[in-house]
Amino acid sequence: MTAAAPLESRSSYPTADWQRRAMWIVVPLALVALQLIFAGTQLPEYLDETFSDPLDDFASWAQQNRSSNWLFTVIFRPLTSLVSTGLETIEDTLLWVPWFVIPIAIFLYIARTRAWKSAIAASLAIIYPGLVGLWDVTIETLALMGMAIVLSVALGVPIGILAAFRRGFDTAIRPVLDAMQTIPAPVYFVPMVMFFGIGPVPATLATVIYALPPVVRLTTLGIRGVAEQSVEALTMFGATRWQTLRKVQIPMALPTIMAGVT
Amino acid sequence: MMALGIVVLATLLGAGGLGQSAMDTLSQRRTGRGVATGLAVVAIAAVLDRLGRAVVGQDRATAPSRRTVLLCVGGVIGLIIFGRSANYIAFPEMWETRAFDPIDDGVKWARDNLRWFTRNFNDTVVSWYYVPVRDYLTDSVAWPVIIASAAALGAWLKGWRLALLNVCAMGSILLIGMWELSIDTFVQVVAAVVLSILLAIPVGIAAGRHRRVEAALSPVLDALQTIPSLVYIIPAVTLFTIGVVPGLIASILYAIVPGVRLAALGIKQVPTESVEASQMFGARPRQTMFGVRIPLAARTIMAGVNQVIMLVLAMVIISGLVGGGGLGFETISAVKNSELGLGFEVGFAIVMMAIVLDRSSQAIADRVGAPEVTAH
Repeated sequence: MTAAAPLESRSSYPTADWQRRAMWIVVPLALVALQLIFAGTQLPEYLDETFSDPLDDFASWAQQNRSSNWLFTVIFRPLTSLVSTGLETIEDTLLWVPWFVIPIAIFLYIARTRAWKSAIAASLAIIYPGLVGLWDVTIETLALMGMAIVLSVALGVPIGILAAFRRGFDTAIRPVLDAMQTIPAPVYFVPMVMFFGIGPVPATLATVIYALPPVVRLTTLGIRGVAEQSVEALTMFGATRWQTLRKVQIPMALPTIMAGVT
Repeated sequence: MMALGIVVLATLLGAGGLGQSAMDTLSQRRTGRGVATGLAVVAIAAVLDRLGRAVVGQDRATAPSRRTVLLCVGGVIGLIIFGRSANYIAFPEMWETRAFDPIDDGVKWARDNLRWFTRNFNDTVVSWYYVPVRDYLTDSVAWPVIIASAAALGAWLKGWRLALLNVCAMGSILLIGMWELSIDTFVQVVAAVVLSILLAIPVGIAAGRHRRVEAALSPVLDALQTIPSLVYIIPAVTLFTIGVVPGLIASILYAIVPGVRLAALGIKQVPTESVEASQMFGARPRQTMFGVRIPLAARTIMAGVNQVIMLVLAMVIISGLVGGGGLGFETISAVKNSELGLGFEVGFAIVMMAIVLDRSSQAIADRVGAPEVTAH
């Protein structure tokens, strides 16, 4: 019926029929020829060392200069200790507080929006790990996630806002964001370990890398989506650019931004 | 929500927390604890999701009065003071249950009693498919043949641009010396994709036709999608021992979900007019199914296949944790030994492979897909 007939006509090649048929003979013959010519030859791994050697050299350089180079003493070491202090503070606070306060606080916070069902569901869900003896590790993970969320919002929202206003910046970061999302996470674990050592800090930062692209994207989308008219109305009343951004565009874009966070 | 997927993987970096306990259950083969841990990850995801929505959902109309807020804050502070002074801080240990431990016994029973099946399945996959095909592709077939076939396929499916893309991507994998590892991974990916599709499409079609099947399936599909994939790799390892097969099983379980969902969706979207028209001409149910429903749903079904392929590729690394070999194993060892160069090469190869498979399967989907349905 409909399935087979249009298949021929939809082909993107307007080649003649005999050419098309000839391909069915030429291509297999070419494949056989390639097999005969190249069978048993070495794989042409010409670039085997081109990329990996400099990277490995860099890694061992980093290993040796961990305590002396300014890159580590000025940037990475303070950054590591900052993030790890943040993590420890969150974790200690959550463990210092009596456990039953956490579900109650979550319930109250969500109940504020009168979403009773989800308030009850969330407070029960947070009790569950305790019931199977995983309370402490769950708090540890929560601290990590919380820190990662805070960092990705703190980084992602400004980047997203900038991208919403500067088209050139937007096109520049787009491929970077794509790469961040497609590269499998363990791949950027390696440089993370190199710069930040082993522990919760590189894990947090890896999570940030993973969570950043949607935050940036949806922020840009949200800011752009704010109706032009409401912005124009404000400029007419003499609001500065910063005022419009802070008072109108960000609040109106907030739902989309939060969708990126979760 | 998405970020939680990384919790388990982040253990490779020494993150601790739930990911670490999931890893521990994997090495101890304790399925019950694994399930408990996996559900804890899901629970946190749910809590964070609700909290996020609550941050957005506040508006002036429904906001409680200032007095209520102050009362609540005061109450919480009071509770903190009470809990601290009564030394009632840690989660009460007597509440902890071992409700999930029976699962361990169940899996052990299955391991001991289903051995005839698991052993045979394992051996069949490894010695009749995985090893011979991998060796054939790496040792017997010359590399230009594989690249040229991919190019020819791309040209036939879509045109010279896809052919060029395939050649560039595969050529770069070859040049950086990741060819054999990539072939290894590719053979595994093909097996997982084929098995997933064989399972997903019939099930999805059944779900699309019968509401009751769909209702029964949807909680299962939800669970498969939310529970971290490491959790169902544990029973797979217990049943099939370390090697290629548990990774395969886990990939199938992980990737099958969008296949089923999109197949069901495609079948449901077939316009009733077309179905009725065919029935009016006296088509039997089977004829309606294969002549009308499936061709008209083909485009959506193929979109599902594309998703399946991408998810299987995402599982390659997890499979590396349980002895899957190929690129996944190299990734894990690169992280463990901090080999930056190797990590870069492996990551590059995985991304290139993902691009080739994604574009090619999309081209197949365009080719197979029936023309847009227009109401006559």
